[in-house]
Amino acid sequence: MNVLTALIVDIIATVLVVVILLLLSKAMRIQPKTQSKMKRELFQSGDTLPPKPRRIYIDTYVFIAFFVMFDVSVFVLATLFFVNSQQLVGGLMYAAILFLTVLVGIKKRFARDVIEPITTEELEGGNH
Amino acid sequence: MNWLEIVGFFTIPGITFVILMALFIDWLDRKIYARGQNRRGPPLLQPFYDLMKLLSKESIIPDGVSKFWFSFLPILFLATVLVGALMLPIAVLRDNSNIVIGFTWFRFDVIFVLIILLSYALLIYFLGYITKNPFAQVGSTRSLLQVLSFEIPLVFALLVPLIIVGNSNGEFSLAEVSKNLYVEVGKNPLYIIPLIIAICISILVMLVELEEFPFDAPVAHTELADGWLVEYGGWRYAFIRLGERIGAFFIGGVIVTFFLGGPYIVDTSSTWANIILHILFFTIKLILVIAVMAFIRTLVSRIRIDQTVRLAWMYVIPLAIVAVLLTLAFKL
Repeated sequence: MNVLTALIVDIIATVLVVVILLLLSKAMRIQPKTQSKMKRELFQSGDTLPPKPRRIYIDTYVFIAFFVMFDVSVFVLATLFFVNSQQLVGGLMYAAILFLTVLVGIKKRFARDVIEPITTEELEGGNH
Repeated sequence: MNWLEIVGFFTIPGITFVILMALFIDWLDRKIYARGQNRRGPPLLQPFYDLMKLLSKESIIPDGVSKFWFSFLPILFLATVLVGALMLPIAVLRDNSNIVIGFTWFRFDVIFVLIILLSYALLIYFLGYITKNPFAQVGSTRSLLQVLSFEIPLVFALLVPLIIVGNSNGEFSLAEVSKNLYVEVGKNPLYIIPLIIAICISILVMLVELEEFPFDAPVAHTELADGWLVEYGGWRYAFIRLGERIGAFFIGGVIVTFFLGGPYIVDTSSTWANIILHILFFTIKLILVIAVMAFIRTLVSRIRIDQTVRLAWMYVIPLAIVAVLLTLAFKL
C-alpha cells in the first residue's frame, strides 16, 4: 500500500466514526435555546477573580530544544545507518515537522513576552 | 482490497474492533485499579454508558474561546489516534510476502508511529492552550513537558527491535518487526537483555503518554481540577475520552507489535483459523500489557512534574542508551 492509499483509508475511517458519533450525540442531546452567563464562564475553582491566562516560560522551550536535538539526530542517524534513499525521506520529513512545530512555538513565546515581560517574582513561582 | 478485507476494515479487526477494544481497555483498567484498592469496580458496560451519557449532554462553549478550535481539536484528537490504531498489524491483511499488515500499512511506517505519538502530545497541549483557562494551560504545559522528555527514551527503546530486525531485509515496517523479531532473537538469545530493558521503558512511556499514575501531574484532580480537560464537556469530552482510550489501544498495540511479536504465536495453513488466532493472540498480548500498566498505577502515587522530568533525563535516557549499545554490541 502506498502512502496516498493509506491516507484515503484513514480519512474514510475517521469521517465514518466522527459522523456516526456526532449524529448520535445530536439525536440524544437536549440543547437549550439560551445559556446563562455563569454556565459559559471559565472554571475558577470557587474564586471570584477572573482567571488569568498563564504565560509560557522559557524552560518549556529549553526542553523542546533538547528534545529536537536528541530525537531528530537519533532518528536521522538510525535511518542513515541501514537504509536506502527512500527511507531517508521519511526521517527528514519527521525532522522537518518537529522543527516547524518548535519554530511556531518559539515565535509565539517571544510575542507574548514582549507585551508581558516575566518578573523575578513570577519566575520564583510567587504569583501564578 | 478484496471483500474480506473490506468487511474486516469496518468490523473486526478494523474500526469496530478498535472502538470495542478501547471501551474494553477502559473497563479492564478501571476494574484492576478497583480490585487493587479492595473495591468491586465498574460493570463491563460502564465505559459504554459513560460514552452515551457524555454524548447526550449539553454542549457548552465558554466565553472568549474560539468555537472552531474548541470543536475541531477534539475531533482531530480522535482522528489521530484512530489513524494510529489502524496501522497496527492485527489480522486479515497480508502483503506480497504473506506477512500480516495493518489497514494503513506503508513502507517505513515506524516513523509515522512516532509522528502520531508526538501529535498526540502536541494536540493535548493545544487542547488545553485554546481554552484560556489557567488550570488547563498549566496542565497542558506539564503534559508537553513530560511527553517530550520521555519521547527520547521511547525512540531509543523502539530502536532496539529495529536494530535487531534491521539488516535481515532492509525493511522498517511494523509488520516486518513483529514477524521477524523472535526469529532474530532465536538466532542470538542475548538480545533478550536489551529487549527487556526496552519493553520496561516503553511501558513507562505508555504511562506518561496516557497520563496515568504516577505521571498524572497534567490532569491532577485535586490540584488542577483535571488540568487541560477542565473546560471540556458533552460530546467534545466524549471524543477526548474515547480518543484517550483508543490511544491506550494504539500505544499498547505498538508495544505488542515491537516487543511481543504482534499477532504471531502459531501460523496454520487455514486462512480463517489464522485470522481468528491472530486476533486472539494480539488481544491476549494487549490485555497483558494493559494489565501491567493498571497494576503499576495501582501501586504508586503521583510524582511532581520536576521529578518526572528528572527521572526521564537522569535515569531513563541513560538506561535506554545502554539498551541500544547492548543491542549493537550483540549485533556486531
